[in-house]
Amino acid sequence: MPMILILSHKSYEQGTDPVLEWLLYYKYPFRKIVIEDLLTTHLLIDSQKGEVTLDGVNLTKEVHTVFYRRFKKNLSVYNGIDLGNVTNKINKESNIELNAVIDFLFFLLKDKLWIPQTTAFSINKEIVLFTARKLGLNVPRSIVTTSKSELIEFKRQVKDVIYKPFELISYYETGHYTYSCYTTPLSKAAMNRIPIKFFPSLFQELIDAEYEIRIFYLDGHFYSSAVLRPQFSNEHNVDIKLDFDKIETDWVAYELPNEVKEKIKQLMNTLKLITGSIDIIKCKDGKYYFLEVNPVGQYLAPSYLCNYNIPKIISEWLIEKDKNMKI
Amino acid sequence: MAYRKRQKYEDLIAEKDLKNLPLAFRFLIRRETNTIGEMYSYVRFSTSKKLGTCSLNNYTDLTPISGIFISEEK
Repeated sequence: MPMILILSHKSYEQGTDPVLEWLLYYKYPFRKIVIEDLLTTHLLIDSQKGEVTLDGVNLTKEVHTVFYRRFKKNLSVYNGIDLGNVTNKINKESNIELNAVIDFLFFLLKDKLWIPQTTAFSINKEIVLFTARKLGLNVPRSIVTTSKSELIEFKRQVKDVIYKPFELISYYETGHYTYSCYTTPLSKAAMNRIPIKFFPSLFQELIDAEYEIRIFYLDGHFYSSAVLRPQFSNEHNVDIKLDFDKIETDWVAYELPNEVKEKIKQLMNTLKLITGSIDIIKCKDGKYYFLEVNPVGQYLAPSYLCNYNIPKIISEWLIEKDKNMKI
Repeated sequence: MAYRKRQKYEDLIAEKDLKNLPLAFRFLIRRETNTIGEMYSYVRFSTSKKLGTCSLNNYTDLTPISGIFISEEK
């Protein structure tokens, strides 16, 4: 009997377990693994046979499909006395060791059906926008620069500009408070915080949106939600995450025009992405602007708010693919 | 849509230490930790061993269909 392998995080990865809920309901075999399991569970990789066995389960023989919902992360493995820089080095090199094992494990499972593919775990935002533009999608203008004078010139050309991290700036928790960087509009005050020369940074044209659309995409199917906010408000944030739980923010199910869908499908096929969470802006002039795709983005909240039941959809899709996958 | 909200950015890191860091660290916004999870449904955690992993199992406020995740302990 085939089995689905789920690779996920130990906590704060909320998309995974509701899918597993449905796999349990359908009584379909699966195994969930988090990176910490590799430190606590019996692992055997037989290089001669090319087989991976975890806790007595031969993953090479049993698994047909791999549902990847994040896996690798840096672990703090050394908990002894503080050795200063040596402590950092121990942790860093222990993680390098573990990642090498994981890379080999992934290699031995590479012929399974991966969702998403290993090459798509993390994709470069600007490469995606470059590709999207070539396929005929509207995308914001952007520059990467280290110079404030070039930023000022760009701002002069496009009028409104945002700064956004190129890849990832996470959350920095300090007990009661957490710090993070969100998509940042470059107001006069924000510009004053930027020095003459700086770290290579991504700046984008700020598109004046009528509303934003969040799409969960799976194998050619679109589950779209429009995020409606009051048109004129002094409490409006550029980054929707800062307005998410406001009472004035409404999420409604949405149907994209077919021509936009077709271009997005083309883009996802070009990027070899079966699934992803996509952000789009609808402008007042009727145009749709593609912003970004996250191959392992979150979908639970829009699913719940718009009644899509995406975890059920994902589980049924995984079961069908897993059953039909020939090894 | 007019974005008018004036944001307050936190000086978590001293200016002299920001030189080689991404600009993101000049635009940090502070929020109460228990409000983080924007765009996410709030989840509960259980340690149900049914999944055969050492991980915490996350489930939403809606009653899980299998009953499996209504656990044991947090």
